[in-house]
Amino acid sequence: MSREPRQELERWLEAERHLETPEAEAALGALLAALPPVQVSEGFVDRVLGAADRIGRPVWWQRHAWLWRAALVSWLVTGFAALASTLGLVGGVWQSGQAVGLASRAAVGIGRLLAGLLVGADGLARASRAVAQLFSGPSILLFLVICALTTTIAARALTVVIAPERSIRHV
Amino acid sequence: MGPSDQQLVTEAIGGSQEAYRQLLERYRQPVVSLVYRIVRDLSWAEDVSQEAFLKAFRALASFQVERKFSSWLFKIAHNTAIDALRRRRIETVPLETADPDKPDLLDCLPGGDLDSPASKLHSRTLGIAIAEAIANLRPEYRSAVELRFIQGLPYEEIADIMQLPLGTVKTHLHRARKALVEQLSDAGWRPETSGR
Repeated sequence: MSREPRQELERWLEAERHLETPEAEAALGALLAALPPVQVSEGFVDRVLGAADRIGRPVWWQRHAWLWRAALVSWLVTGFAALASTLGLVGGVWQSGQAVGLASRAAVGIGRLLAGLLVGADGLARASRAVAQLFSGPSILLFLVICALTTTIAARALTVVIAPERSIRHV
Repeated sequence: MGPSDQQLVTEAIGGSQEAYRQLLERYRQPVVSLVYRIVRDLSWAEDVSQEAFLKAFRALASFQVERKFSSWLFKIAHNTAIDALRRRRIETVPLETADPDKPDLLDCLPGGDLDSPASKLHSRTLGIAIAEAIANLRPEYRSAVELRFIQGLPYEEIADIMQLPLGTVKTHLHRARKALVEQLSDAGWRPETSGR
C-alpha cells in the first residue's frame, strides 16, 4: 500500500462527503486492505482433513448408488414376475404327473433369478425374456412389460427420494 | 502457479487426498476471514469454517466443475456462518472483553513505514476503530463489506454468494459505508481537510 492508513481514511471520508461512490469504494478498499489478514491457527487443515476422514468421503459405489438401487428394484420385480408365473401354473388343475415338471420349472426359474442377481441389468433382461418364452403366452409378456415400466419409474423415484442432499441448506 | 481450482476439484472428486489438502490450504484464510467477519469470534470462526469445508467436501460429488469453485465455497461458508449465528444468537462481543490469550485480528496492526511509537499507536487505534465499526454492522452488511473490500469480489459474484439481487448488494454496501462513516465520525475520526 502506497499511502498510510490515515491518508486512505482521509481520502475515503472526503469521497463520501462529496458522494463520489467509486472513489469512496476504492479508498475504503485500500484502507481495509491495510488491515492484517485473519491468522488461521496452525493445524487447521489437518483438523479438517481428520474430521473429513471420520465422516467418510463418498466412495465410487456411493456416488453411483442410484444404479444399485435401480438394479435392486429390477431384481425384486423380476423375481416377483417369475414367482407369479409359477403360481399361475399351480392354480390350474393339479395332477400328480405334473409335480416333477413343476419342480423342474421352479428350479429353472429360481436358477435364472439367481443368474440375474449376479449378472446385471442386461443379464436380467435376457433372463426375463427366457422365462417369458418358457411359459409363453401374451399375458406373460404383457406382465413383464408392465414390470419393466414399473422398474424404470421406481428407479427414478428412488433416485429422487433417496439421493443425497444436493442443495446446501441456506437462509 | 499451481493447479487450477477446476483441476483440484476434479482430483478431489476422484478421491485425491492431496487435492483436498491443496484446496484447504488455498481457501482456509479467505473462508475463515469471511466467517470471522460474520461471527466475530476467531476460535468459533475456525469451528464454523471447518463445518463449512466439511459440507463442501460432502457435496463435492454434485459440484459442476465448470462453475467457479470459490463462489460456491464462499456461499457455503456464508450460509453456514449465518446458520451458526442464528443458532447461537450471539450478542455483540465487546472487543475489550475478548480472551487476551487468544490471538485476535487486532493484535497486530500495520505500522507501515511509521517509525515513531506515536504513529504506530495512531494506526493501531485507527485499525481498532475500523474493526469495531465493521463488527457493529448488521451481519449482511459485514458479509458484503468483507466480500467486496477485503476479498475484492465483483458485485455480481457477491450477489450470487449472498443469494441476493444485485441492487440489494449495492444497497447493503452503500448503507454499510454510511454506517461506517457515522461510527468513525462519532469516534472522532473526521477528515482533517475541508475540501479537495
